Amino acid sequence: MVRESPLLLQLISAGFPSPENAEMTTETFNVHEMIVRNAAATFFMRVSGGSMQDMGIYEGDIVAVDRSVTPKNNDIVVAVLDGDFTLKKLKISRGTYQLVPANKQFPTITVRDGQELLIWGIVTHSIRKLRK
Amino acid sequence: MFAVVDCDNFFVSCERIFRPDLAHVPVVVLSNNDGCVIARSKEVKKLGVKMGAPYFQYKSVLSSAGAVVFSANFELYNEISKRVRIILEATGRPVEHYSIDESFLELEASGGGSYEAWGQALSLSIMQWVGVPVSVGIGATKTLAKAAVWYAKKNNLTVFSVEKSDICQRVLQEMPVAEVWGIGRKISTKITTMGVVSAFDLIINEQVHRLFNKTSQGTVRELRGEDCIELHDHTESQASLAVTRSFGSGITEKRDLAASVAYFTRCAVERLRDKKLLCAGITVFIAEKNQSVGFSKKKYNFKKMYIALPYASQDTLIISQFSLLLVDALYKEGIMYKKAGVILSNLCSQERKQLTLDSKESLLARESQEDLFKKLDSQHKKGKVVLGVELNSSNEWRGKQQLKSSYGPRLSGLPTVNASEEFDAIIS
Repeated sequence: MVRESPLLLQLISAGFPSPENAEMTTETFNVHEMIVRNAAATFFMRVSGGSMQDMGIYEGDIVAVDRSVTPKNNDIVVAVLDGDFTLKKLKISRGTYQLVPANKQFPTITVRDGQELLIWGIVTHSIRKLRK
Repeated sequence: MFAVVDCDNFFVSCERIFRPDLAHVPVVVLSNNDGCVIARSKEVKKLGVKMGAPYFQYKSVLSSAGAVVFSANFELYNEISKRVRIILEATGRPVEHYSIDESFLELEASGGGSYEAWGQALSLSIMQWVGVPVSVGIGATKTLAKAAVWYAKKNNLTVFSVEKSDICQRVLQEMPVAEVWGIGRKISTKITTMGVVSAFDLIINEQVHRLFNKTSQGTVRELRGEDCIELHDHTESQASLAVTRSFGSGITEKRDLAASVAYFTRCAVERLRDKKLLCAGITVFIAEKNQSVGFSKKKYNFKKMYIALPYASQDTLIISQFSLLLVDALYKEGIMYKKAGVILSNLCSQERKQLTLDSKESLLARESQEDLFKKLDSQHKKGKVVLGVELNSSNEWRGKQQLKSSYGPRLSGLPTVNASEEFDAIIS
Protein backbone atom coordinates (compact mmCIF):
# COMPACT_ATOMS: atom_id res chain seq x y z
CA MET A 1 0.00 0.00 0.00
CA VAL A 2 1.16 3.48 -0.75
CA ARG A 3 0.81 5.17 2.58
CA GLU A 4 3.70 7.44 3.08
CA SER A 5 3.33 10.97 1.84
CA PRO A 6 4.24 11.12 -1.82
CA LEU A 7 7.71 12.21 -2.67
CA LEU A 8 8.05 15.00 -5.10
CA LEU A 9 11.24 14.05 -6.79
CA GLN A 10 11.31 16.89 -9.24
CA LEU A 11 14.28 16.08 -11.35
CA ILE A 12 12.46 17.66 -14.24
CA SER A 13 12.48 21.30 -15.11
CA ALA A 14 12.81 22.27 -11.49
CA GLY A 15 13.27 25.94 -10.84
CA PHE A 16 12.77 28.56 -13.50
CA PRO A 17 13.83 28.24 -17.09
CA SER A 18 17.33 29.50 -17.59
CA PRO A 19 19.74 29.40 -20.49
CA GLU A 20 22.05 27.15 -18.51
CA ASN A 21 19.59 24.29 -18.87
CA ALA A 22 20.19 24.21 -22.59
CA GLU A 23 23.74 23.06 -22.04
CA MET A 24 22.48 19.99 -20.26
CA THR A 25 20.97 18.55 -23.42
CA THR A 26 23.24 15.71 -24.37
CA GLU A 27 23.04 12.57 -26.41
CA THR A 28 23.80 10.38 -23.43
CA PHE A 29 21.40 7.93 -21.89
CA ASN A 30 19.06 9.66 -19.49
CA VAL A 31 17.25 7.49 -16.95
CA HIS A 32 14.83 10.22 -16.07
CA GLU A 33 13.62 10.68 -19.64
CA MET A 34 13.21 6.93 -19.88
CA ILE A 35 10.91 6.86 -16.87
CA VAL A 36 9.05 10.12 -17.22
CA ARG A 37 7.11 10.12 -20.48
CA ASN A 38 4.76 12.87 -19.39
CA ALA A 39 6.34 15.35 -17.00
CA ALA A 40 3.06 17.05 -16.12
CA ALA A 41 1.34 13.80 -15.20
CA THR A 42 4.08 11.68 -13.61
CA PHE A 43 4.40 11.51 -9.84
CA PHE A 44 6.75 9.48 -7.69
CA MET A 45 5.53 7.64 -4.62
CA ARG A 46 7.22 5.58 -1.95
CA VAL A 47 5.84 2.07 -1.43
CA SER A 48 4.99 0.86 2.04
CA GLY A 49 3.83 -2.67 2.85
CA GLY A 50 4.48 -5.88 0.96
CA SER A 51 1.26 -6.61 -0.92
CA MET A 52 3.00 -6.46 -4.31
CA GLN A 53 6.25 -8.20 -3.46
CA ASP A 54 5.68 -11.24 -5.68
CA MET A 55 5.82 -8.85 -8.62
CA GLY A 56 9.08 -7.45 -7.39
CA ILE A 57 7.74 -4.29 -5.79
CA TYR A 58 8.96 -4.12 -2.21
CA GLU A 59 8.49 -1.89 0.77
CA GLY A 60 10.63 1.24 0.37
CA ASP A 61 10.71 1.14 -3.43
CA ILE A 62 9.83 4.25 -5.37
CA VAL A 63 7.22 3.90 -8.09
CA ALA A 64 6.63 6.21 -11.03
CA VAL A 65 2.92 6.83 -11.49
CA ASP A 66 1.56 8.24 -14.74
CA ARG A 67 -1.89 9.83 -14.48
CA SER A 68 -2.28 10.41 -18.22
CA VAL A 69 -2.43 6.71 -19.17
CA THR A 70 -5.81 5.00 -19.57
CA PRO A 71 -5.96 1.96 -17.27
CA LYS A 72 -6.29 -1.46 -18.85
CA ASN A 73 -6.55 -5.02 -17.58
CA ASN A 74 -3.46 -6.23 -15.65
CA ASP A 75 -2.02 -2.73 -15.13
CA ILE A 76 -0.46 -2.07 -11.76
CA VAL A 77 -2.33 0.93 -10.44
CA VAL A 78 -2.47 3.36 -7.58
CA ALA A 79 -6.14 3.16 -6.73
CA VAL A 80 -8.23 5.11 -4.29
CA LEU A 81 -10.75 2.93 -2.52
CA ASP A 82 -12.94 4.60 0.08
CA GLY A 83 -10.50 7.47 0.32
CA ASP A 84 -7.34 5.38 0.82
CA PHE A 85 -4.44 4.87 -1.59
CA THR A 86 -3.66 1.28 -2.47
CA LEU A 87 -1.14 -0.25 -4.88
CA LYS A 88 -2.55 -3.31 -6.67
CA LYS A 89 -2.95 -5.05 -9.99
CA LEU A 90 -6.16 -4.05 -11.76
CA LYS A 91 -8.29 -6.89 -13.16
CA ILE A 92 -11.16 -5.92 -15.42
CA SER A 93 -13.45 -8.70 -16.56
CA ARG A 94 -17.03 -8.52 -17.74
CA GLY A 95 -17.77 -5.25 -16.03
CA THR A 96 -16.30 -6.18 -12.65
CA TYR A 97 -13.23 -4.53 -11.25
CA GLN A 98 -10.82 -6.31 -8.93
CA LEU A 99 -7.72 -5.10 -7.12
CA VAL A 100 -5.39 -8.07 -6.94
CA PRO A 101 -2.38 -8.19 -4.61
CA ALA A 102 0.84 -10.00 -5.52
CA ASN A 103 1.22 -11.64 -2.11
CA LYS A 104 -0.84 -14.60 -0.89
CA GLN A 105 -1.19 -13.08 2.56
CA PHE A 106 -3.38 -10.28 1.18
CA PRO A 107 -6.95 -10.69 -0.11
CA THR A 108 -8.21 -9.77 -3.56
CA ILE A 109 -10.58 -6.82 -3.37
CA THR A 110 -13.66 -6.96 -5.57
CA VAL A 111 -15.24 -3.56 -5.99
CA ARG A 112 -18.85 -3.82 -4.87
CA ASP A 113 -21.82 -1.92 -6.25
CA GLY A 114 -22.02 1.51 -4.69
CA GLN A 115 -18.36 1.46 -3.74
CA GLU A 116 -16.26 4.16 -5.37
CA LEU A 117 -13.06 3.09 -7.09
CA LEU A 118 -10.81 5.79 -8.46
CA ILE A 119 -7.73 4.92 -10.49
CA TRP A 120 -5.34 7.66 -9.37
CA GLY A 121 -2.60 6.65 -11.80
CA ILE A 122 -0.82 3.80 -13.55
CA VAL A 123 2.50 2.51 -12.23
CA THR A 124 4.98 2.52 -15.09
CA HIS A 125 8.28 1.82 -13.29
CA SER A 126 9.59 0.87 -9.90
CA ILE A 127 12.96 1.93 -8.60
CA ARG A 128 14.84 0.01 -5.93
CA LYS A 129 18.21 0.60 -4.40
CA LEU A 130 20.00 -2.75 -4.27
CA ARG A 131 23.09 -1.86 -2.27
CA LYS A 132 22.11 -0.99 1.26
CA MET B 1 -9.57 36.05 -28.35
CA PHE B 2 -8.26 35.19 -24.92
CA ALA B 3 -8.77 32.44 -22.36
CA VAL B 4 -7.94 32.64 -18.69
CA VAL B 5 -7.30 29.39 -16.83
CA ASP B 6 -7.80 29.79 -13.12
CA CYS B 7 -7.14 26.94 -10.67
CA ASP B 8 -10.00 26.54 -8.18
CA ASN B 9 -9.05 27.00 -4.50
CA PHE B 10 -5.54 26.25 -5.69
CA PHE B 11 -3.64 25.56 -2.46
CA VAL B 12 -6.48 23.39 -1.15
CA SER B 13 -6.65 21.50 -4.44
CA CYS B 14 -2.89 20.86 -4.28
CA GLU B 15 -3.20 19.40 -0.78
CA ARG B 16 -6.05 17.17 -1.92
CA ILE B 17 -4.05 15.57 -4.74
CA PHE B 18 -2.28 13.32 -2.26
CA ARG B 19 -5.16 13.18 0.21
CA PRO B 20 -8.07 11.71 -1.74
CA ASP B 21 -9.81 11.12 1.59
CA LEU B 22 -10.27 14.91 1.85
CA ALA B 23 -12.20 15.24 -1.43
CA HIS B 24 -15.38 16.38 0.33
CA VAL B 25 -13.95 17.42 3.69
CA PRO B 26 -13.60 21.14 4.56
CA VAL B 27 -9.94 22.12 4.11
CA VAL B 28 -8.12 25.38 4.86
CA VAL B 29 -4.54 26.41 4.23
CA LEU B 30 -2.87 28.90 6.57
CA SER B 31 -0.16 31.45 5.89
CA ASN B 32 3.42 30.83 6.91
CA ASN B 33 3.04 31.49 10.59
CA ASP B 34 -0.34 29.78 10.64
CA GLY B 35 -1.77 33.23 11.21
CA CYS B 36 -4.26 33.72 8.41
CA VAL B 37 -6.50 31.69 6.15
CA ILE B 38 -5.06 31.89 2.64
CA ALA B 39 -7.07 29.16 0.89
CA ARG B 40 -10.47 27.67 1.54
CA SER B 41 -12.29 24.70 0.09
CA LYS B 42 -15.86 25.14 -1.13
CA GLU B 43 -17.11 23.65 2.16
CA VAL B 44 -15.12 26.18 4.19
CA LYS B 45 -16.43 29.10 2.13
CA LYS B 46 -19.95 27.90 3.00
CA LEU B 47 -19.07 28.11 6.69
CA GLY B 48 -18.55 31.83 6.16
CA VAL B 49 -14.81 31.78 6.76
CA LYS B 50 -13.35 34.83 5.06
CA MET B 51 -10.24 34.91 2.92
CA GLY B 52 -7.29 36.39 4.79
CA ALA B 53 -9.09 36.13 8.13
CA PRO B 54 -7.07 35.39 11.27
CA TYR B 55 -7.18 31.66 11.93
CA PHE B 56 -7.97 31.97 15.66
CA GLN B 57 -11.19 33.77 14.80
CA TYR B 58 -12.58 30.67 13.08
CA LYS B 59 -10.67 27.96 14.90
CA SER B 60 -13.68 26.57 16.78
CA VAL B 61 -16.04 26.87 13.79
CA LEU B 62 -13.56 24.96 11.67
CA SER B 63 -12.85 22.25 14.19
CA SER B 64 -16.52 21.60 14.91
CA ALA B 65 -17.09 21.25 11.16
CA GLY B 66 -14.32 18.63 11.05
CA ALA B 67 -12.11 20.80 8.86
CA VAL B 68 -8.58 19.72 8.09
CA VAL B 69 -6.04 22.52 8.46
CA PHE B 70 -2.74 22.73 6.56
CA SER B 71 0.19 25.08 6.90
CA ALA B 72 1.19 26.44 3.52
CA ASN B 73 3.54 24.19 1.56
CA PHE B 74 4.73 26.44 -1.22
CA GLU B 75 7.21 23.92 -2.58
CA LEU B 76 4.27 21.69 -3.39
CA TYR B 77 2.13 24.50 -4.81
CA ASN B 78 4.97 25.60 -7.05
CA GLU B 79 5.51 22.09 -8.33
CA ILE B 80 1.83 21.65 -9.15
CA SER B 81 1.69 25.10 -10.74
CA LYS B 82 4.63 24.13 -12.94
CA ARG B 83 2.78 21.03 -14.13
CA VAL B 84 -0.32 23.02 -15.05
CA ARG B 85 1.95 25.38 -16.98
CA ILE B 86 3.49 22.48 -18.90
CA ILE B 87 0.03 21.47 -20.09
CA LEU B 88 -0.92 25.03 -21.03
CA GLU B 89 2.30 25.49 -22.98
CA ALA B 90 1.69 22.20 -24.76
CA THR B 91 -1.40 23.75 -26.36
CA GLY B 92 1.06 25.62 -28.57
CA ARG B 93 -0.67 28.95 -27.97
CA PRO B 94 1.03 32.00 -26.46
CA VAL B 95 0.71 31.79 -22.67
CA GLU B 96 1.14 34.37 -19.94
CA HIS B 97 1.61 32.87 -16.50
CA TYR B 98 -0.04 35.59 -14.52
CA SER B 99 0.25 34.15 -11.03
CA ILE B 100 0.82 30.83 -9.31
CA ASP B 101 -2.73 29.72 -10.10
CA GLU B 102 -3.77 31.76 -13.10
CA SER B 103 -2.67 31.98 -16.76
CA PHE B 104 -3.83 33.71 -19.92
CA LEU B 105 -3.77 32.08 -23.35
CA GLU B 106 -4.11 33.93 -26.62
CA LEU B 107 -6.42 32.26 -29.13
CA GLU B 108 -7.08 32.95 -32.78
CA ALA B 109 -10.42 34.56 -33.59
CA SER B 110 -12.99 31.79 -33.46
CA GLY B 111 -14.76 32.91 -36.64
CA GLY B 112 -18.29 32.27 -35.43
CA GLY B 113 -17.39 29.04 -33.66
CA SER B 114 -16.79 28.68 -29.96
CA TYR B 115 -13.87 27.78 -27.77
CA GLU B 116 -16.10 26.25 -25.14
CA ALA B 117 -15.44 22.63 -26.13
CA TRP B 118 -11.73 23.38 -26.33
CA GLY B 119 -11.87 24.80 -22.80
CA GLN B 120 -13.71 21.73 -21.54
CA ALA B 121 -11.05 19.42 -22.99
CA LEU B 122 -8.27 21.52 -21.51
CA SER B 123 -9.76 21.55 -18.02
CA LEU B 124 -10.34 17.80 -18.22
CA SER B 125 -6.68 17.17 -19.12
CA ILE B 126 -5.48 19.29 -16.23
CA MET B 127 -7.84 17.51 -13.82
CA GLN B 128 -6.80 14.06 -15.02
CA TRP B 129 -3.07 14.61 -15.44
CA VAL B 130 -2.29 16.90 -12.54
CA GLY B 131 -5.35 16.46 -10.34
CA VAL B 132 -6.43 20.06 -9.79
CA PRO B 133 -9.76 21.50 -10.92
CA VAL B 134 -9.63 24.66 -13.04
CA SER B 135 -12.15 27.17 -14.35
CA VAL B 136 -11.77 28.58 -17.84
CA GLY B 137 -13.10 31.94 -19.02
CA ILE B 138 -13.10 32.92 -22.68
CA GLY B 139 -13.59 36.39 -24.16
CA ALA B 140 -12.47 38.85 -26.80
CA THR B 141 -10.04 40.59 -24.41
CA LYS B 142 -8.18 39.64 -21.24
CA THR B 143 -10.59 41.72 -19.17
CA LEU B 144 -13.60 39.98 -20.76
CA ALA B 145 -12.01 36.54 -20.24
CA LYS B 146 -11.65 37.48 -16.56
CA ALA B 147 -15.32 38.48 -16.50
CA ALA B 148 -16.20 35.10 -18.04
CA VAL B 149 -14.23 33.18 -15.42
CA TRP B 150 -15.81 35.29 -12.67
CA TYR B 151 -19.20 34.16 -13.98
CA ALA B 152 -18.07 30.53 -14.31
CA LYS B 153 -16.90 30.38 -10.69
CA LYS B 154 -20.00 32.06 -9.39
CA ASN B 155 -22.25 29.57 -11.14
CA ASN B 156 -20.18 26.43 -10.63
CA LEU B 157 -19.39 26.06 -14.32
CA THR B 158 -16.05 24.71 -15.48
CA VAL B 159 -15.98 26.76 -18.67
CA PHE B 160 -17.79 29.92 -19.62
CA SER B 161 -17.45 31.96 -22.78
CA VAL B 162 -18.56 35.52 -23.48
CA GLU B 163 -17.67 35.24 -27.16
CA LYS B 164 -21.29 35.98 -28.10
CA SER B 165 -22.16 39.65 -27.60
CA ASP B 166 -25.62 39.09 -26.04
CA ILE B 167 -24.17 36.71 -23.44
CA CYS B 168 -21.32 39.11 -22.83
CA GLN B 169 -23.71 41.99 -22.17
CA ARG B 170 -25.79 39.89 -19.76
CA VAL B 171 -22.67 38.94 -17.74
CA LEU B 172 -21.42 42.53 -17.60
CA GLN B 173 -24.82 43.71 -16.39
CA GLU B 174 -24.64 41.16 -13.59
CA MET B 175 -21.02 41.88 -12.66
CA PRO B 176 -20.39 44.44 -9.89
CA VAL B 177 -17.88 47.11 -10.81
CA ALA B 178 -15.59 46.09 -7.97
CA GLU B 179 -15.16 42.65 -9.57
CA VAL B 180 -13.84 44.06 -12.85
CA TRP B 181 -10.18 43.25 -13.44
CA GLY B 182 -8.13 46.45 -13.24
CA ILE B 183 -10.69 48.53 -11.33
CA GLY B 184 -9.31 49.36 -7.92
CA ARG B 185 -11.24 49.36 -4.67
CA LYS B 186 -11.11 53.10 -4.12
CA ILE B 187 -12.39 54.04 -7.55
CA SER B 188 -15.09 51.37 -7.53
CA THR B 189 -16.45 52.64 -4.19
CA LYS B 190 -16.47 56.15 -5.58
CA ILE B 191 -18.25 55.41 -8.84
CA THR B 192 -20.74 53.06 -7.20
CA THR B 193 -22.04 56.03 -5.21
CA MET B 194 -22.39 57.84 -8.55
CA GLY B 195 -24.75 55.11 -9.75
CA VAL B 196 -22.22 53.10 -11.75
CA VAL B 197 -22.90 49.71 -10.24
CA SER B 198 -22.28 47.05 -12.87
CA ALA B 199 -19.51 46.50 -15.39
CA PHE B 200 -22.03 47.36 -18.07
CA ASP B 201 -22.81 50.71 -16.37
CA LEU B 202 -19.11 51.38 -16.54
CA ILE B 203 -19.12 51.06 -20.31
CA ILE B 204 -22.09 53.32 -20.94
CA ASN B 205 -21.45 56.09 -18.36
CA GLU B 206 -18.86 58.12 -20.17
CA GLN B 207 -18.86 60.90 -17.60
CA VAL B 208 -17.04 58.73 -15.05
CA HIS B 209 -14.23 57.90 -17.48
CA ARG B 210 -12.52 61.23 -16.90
CA LEU B 211 -11.96 60.19 -13.27
CA PHE B 212 -9.87 57.33 -14.53
CA ASN B 213 -6.17 57.02 -15.08
CA LYS B 214 -4.78 55.45 -18.22
CA THR B 215 -4.91 51.92 -16.86
CA SER B 216 -8.59 52.11 -15.93
CA GLN B 217 -9.45 53.73 -19.26
CA GLY B 218 -7.80 50.74 -20.93
CA THR B 219 -10.01 48.50 -18.80
CA VAL B 220 -13.14 50.24 -20.10
CA ARG B 221 -12.00 49.79 -23.70
CA GLU B 222 -11.29 46.14 -22.99
CA LEU B 223 -14.81 45.67 -21.61
CA ARG B 224 -16.06 47.02 -24.94
CA GLY B 225 -14.12 44.28 -26.67
CA GLU B 226 -11.21 46.39 -27.81
CA ASP B 227 -8.01 44.46 -27.18
CA CYS B 228 -5.67 46.77 -25.20
CA ILE B 229 -3.75 44.64 -22.76
CA GLU B 230 -1.33 42.41 -24.54
CA LEU B 231 -0.20 39.05 -23.36
CA HIS B 232 2.83 39.57 -21.23
CA ASP B 233 5.49 36.96 -21.72
CA HIS B 234 7.07 36.61 -18.32
CA THR B 235 9.69 34.13 -19.42
CA GLU B 236 11.04 36.30 -22.24
CA SER B 237 10.66 39.88 -21.15
CA GLN B 238 10.79 39.23 -17.45
CA ALA B 239 12.66 41.85 -15.60
CA SER B 240 14.39 41.00 -12.38
CA LEU B 241 15.98 42.84 -9.56
CA ALA B 242 18.86 41.28 -7.72
CA VAL B 243 20.82 42.00 -4.60
CA THR B 244 23.83 39.77 -4.10
CA ARG B 245 27.14 39.91 -2.36
CA SER B 246 30.09 37.86 -1.26
CA PHE B 247 30.86 37.31 2.40
CA GLY B 248 34.42 38.23 3.25
CA SER B 249 35.11 35.47 5.71
CA GLY B 250 32.27 33.12 4.87
CA ILE B 251 29.20 32.01 6.79
CA THR B 252 28.47 28.65 8.37
CA GLU B 253 25.67 29.46 10.81
CA LYS B 254 22.10 29.33 9.60
CA ARG B 255 21.07 32.39 11.60
CA ASP B 256 23.80 34.43 9.89
CA LEU B 257 22.72 33.23 6.49
CA ALA B 258 19.09 34.03 7.33
CA ALA B 259 20.10 37.47 8.58
CA SER B 260 22.04 38.26 5.43
CA VAL B 261 19.27 37.02 3.13
CA ALA B 262 16.72 39.04 5.13
CA TYR B 263 18.93 42.10 4.68
CA PHE B 264 19.28 41.50 0.92
CA THR B 265 15.52 41.05 0.69
CA ARG B 266 14.87 44.31 2.51
CA CYS B 267 17.26 46.19 0.20
CA ALA B 268 15.81 44.60 -2.93
CA VAL B 269 12.23 45.36 -1.88
CA GLU B 270 13.16 48.97 -1.12
CA ARG B 271 14.39 49.28 -4.70
CA LEU B 272 11.23 47.58 -5.91
CA ARG B 273 9.12 50.23 -4.19
CA ASP B 274 11.38 52.98 -5.56
CA LYS B 275 10.57 51.78 -9.05
CA LYS B 276 6.85 51.43 -8.23
CA LEU B 277 6.93 47.72 -9.01
CA LEU B 278 5.54 44.57 -7.44
CA CYS B 279 7.17 41.19 -7.63
CA ALA B 280 5.44 37.83 -7.84
CA GLY B 281 8.45 35.53 -7.60
CA ILE B 282 11.61 35.32 -5.57
CA THR B 283 14.81 33.32 -5.95
CA VAL B 284 17.40 32.85 -3.24
CA PHE B 285 20.82 31.50 -4.08
CA ILE B 286 23.69 30.53 -1.85
CA ALA B 287 27.15 29.52 -2.94
CA GLU B 288 30.21 27.77 -1.54
CA LYS B 289 33.71 27.81 -2.99
CA ASN B 290 34.19 25.13 -5.61
CA GLN B 291 36.48 22.65 -3.87
CA SER B 292 36.91 20.23 -6.74
CA VAL B 293 40.19 20.39 -8.59
CA GLY B 294 40.55 19.71 -12.28
CA PHE B 295 39.04 21.22 -15.36
CA SER B 296 36.18 23.02 -13.71
CA LYS B 297 36.58 26.74 -14.09
CA LYS B 298 33.75 27.57 -11.82
CA LYS B 299 34.75 29.50 -8.77
CA TYR B 300 31.57 28.75 -6.82
CA ASN B 301 29.04 25.98 -6.46
CA PHE B 302 25.63 27.59 -6.56
CA LYS B 303 22.38 26.32 -5.17
CA LYS B 304 19.25 28.23 -5.92
CA MET B 305 15.56 27.92 -5.40
CA TYR B 306 12.63 29.86 -6.79
CA ILE B 307 9.24 30.36 -5.24
CA ALA B 308 6.19 32.08 -6.69
CA LEU B 309 4.43 34.41 -4.28
CA PRO B 310 0.70 33.86 -3.79
CA TYR B 311 0.14 37.43 -5.02
CA ALA B 312 2.34 40.21 -6.35
CA SER B 313 3.74 42.27 -3.50
CA GLN B 314 6.15 45.01 -2.51
CA ASP B 315 5.84 44.31 1.19
CA THR B 316 9.13 43.60 2.95
CA LEU B 317 7.49 41.47 5.63
CA ILE B 318 5.68 39.21 3.18
CA ILE B 319 8.54 38.82 0.72
CA SER B 320 11.10 38.17 3.44
CA GLN B 321 8.92 35.37 4.84
CA PHE B 322 9.34 33.62 1.53
CA SER B 323 13.04 34.29 1.21
CA LEU B 324 13.57 32.84 4.70
CA LEU B 325 11.55 29.79 3.70
CA LEU B 326 13.99 29.29 0.85
CA VAL B 327 16.95 29.69 3.19
CA ASP B 328 15.46 26.91 5.32
CA ALA B 329 15.24 24.64 2.31
CA LEU B 330 18.67 25.47 0.87
CA TYR B 331 20.85 25.59 3.98
CA LYS B 332 23.01 22.62 4.90
CA GLU B 333 25.06 22.39 8.03
CA GLY B 334 28.83 22.25 7.83
CA ILE B 335 29.18 24.23 4.63
CA MET B 336 31.09 27.48 4.43
CA TYR B 337 28.97 29.82 2.32
CA LYS B 338 30.88 32.53 0.50
CA LYS B 339 28.14 34.24 -1.41
CA ALA B 340 24.37 34.66 -1.37
CA GLY B 341 21.72 36.68 -3.10
CA VAL B 342 18.08 37.47 -3.57
CA ILE B 343 16.46 37.90 -6.99
CA LEU B 344 13.00 39.36 -7.29
CA SER B 345 11.28 38.40 -10.53
CA ASN B 346 7.90 38.40 -12.30
CA LEU B 347 7.85 42.15 -11.81
CA CYS B 348 4.80 44.17 -12.69
CA SER B 349 3.73 47.74 -12.25
CA GLN B 350 1.88 48.46 -9.03
CA GLU B 351 -1.02 49.92 -10.99
CA ARG B 352 -2.27 46.58 -12.22
CA LYS B 353 -2.05 44.68 -9.04
CA GLN B 354 -3.91 41.53 -8.43
CA LEU B 355 -5.96 41.12 -5.32
CA THR B 356 -6.11 37.55 -4.22
CA LEU B 357 -7.28 38.06 -0.69
CA ASP B 358 -10.71 39.46 -1.09
CA SER B 359 -11.57 40.28 2.48
CA LYS B 360 -11.63 44.00 2.99
CA GLU B 361 -10.15 43.79 6.46
CA SER B 362 -7.06 41.93 5.38
CA LEU B 363 -6.73 44.17 2.36
CA LEU B 364 -6.84 47.26 4.52
CA ALA B 365 -4.37 45.78 6.95
CA ARG B 366 -2.00 44.95 4.13
CA GLU B 367 -2.39 48.32 2.47
CA SER B 368 -1.69 50.19 5.65
CA GLN B 369 1.44 48.09 6.09
CA GLU B 370 2.47 49.00 2.56
CA ASP B 371 1.79 52.66 3.30
CA LEU B 372 4.00 52.32 6.34
CA PHE B 373 6.85 51.04 4.19
CA LYS B 374 6.34 53.90 1.78
CA LYS B 375 6.65 56.36 4.66
CA LEU B 376 9.80 54.67 5.84
CA ASP B 377 11.20 54.92 2.33
CA SER B 378 10.30 58.54 1.84
CA GLN B 379 11.54 59.99 5.10
CA HIS B 380 15.16 59.10 4.51
CA LYS B 381 14.86 56.36 7.02
CA LYS B 382 16.19 53.62 4.82
CA GLY B 383 18.26 51.18 6.80
CA LYS B 384 17.08 52.55 10.12
CA VAL B 385 14.20 50.13 10.38
CA VAL B 386 15.36 46.55 9.91
CA LEU B 387 13.85 43.11 10.19
CA GLY B 388 14.20 41.35 13.52
CA VAL B 389 15.89 38.38 11.94
CA GLU B 390 18.69 40.60 10.64
CA LEU B 391 19.68 41.40 14.20
CA ASN B 392 19.79 37.78 15.26
CA SER B 393 23.24 37.24 13.87
CA SER B 394 26.88 37.60 14.66
CA ASN B 395 27.31 40.33 12.03
CA GLU B 396 30.41 38.63 10.67
CA TRP B 397 28.85 38.42 7.23
CA ARG B 398 28.58 42.14 6.80
CA GLY B 399 32.10 42.19 5.33
CA LYS B 400 33.48 45.23 3.66
CA GLN B 401 32.12 45.06 0.12
CA GLN B 402 29.56 47.53 -1.09
CA LEU B 403 26.11 46.17 -1.74
CA LYS B 404 25.82 45.13 -5.35
CA SER B 405 22.57 45.36 -7.20
CA SER B 406 21.77 44.64 -10.81
CA TYR B 407 18.57 45.51 -12.55
CA GLY B 408 18.08 44.12 -16.01
CA PRO B 409 15.63 42.64 -18.43
CA ARG B 410 17.25 39.23 -18.35
CA LEU B 411 18.76 36.81 -15.93
CA SER B 412 21.90 36.51 -18.01
CA GLY B 413 23.66 39.12 -15.93
CA LEU B 414 23.61 36.73 -13.04
CA PRO B 415 26.19 34.13 -12.08
CA THR B 416 25.81 30.72 -13.62
CA VAL B 417 24.16 28.18 -11.40
CA ASN B 418 24.21 24.43 -11.05
CA ALA B 419 20.57 23.79 -11.84
CA SER B 420 20.67 20.06 -11.18
CA GLU B 421 21.05 20.57 -7.47
CA GLU B 422 18.09 22.79 -7.00
CA PHE B 423 15.72 20.55 -5.19
CA ASP B 424 18.11 18.40 -3.17
CA ALA B 425 17.06 20.14 -0.04
CA ILE B 426 13.42 19.27 -0.45
CA ILE B 427 13.96 15.64 -1.28
CA SER B 428 16.24 14.81 1.60
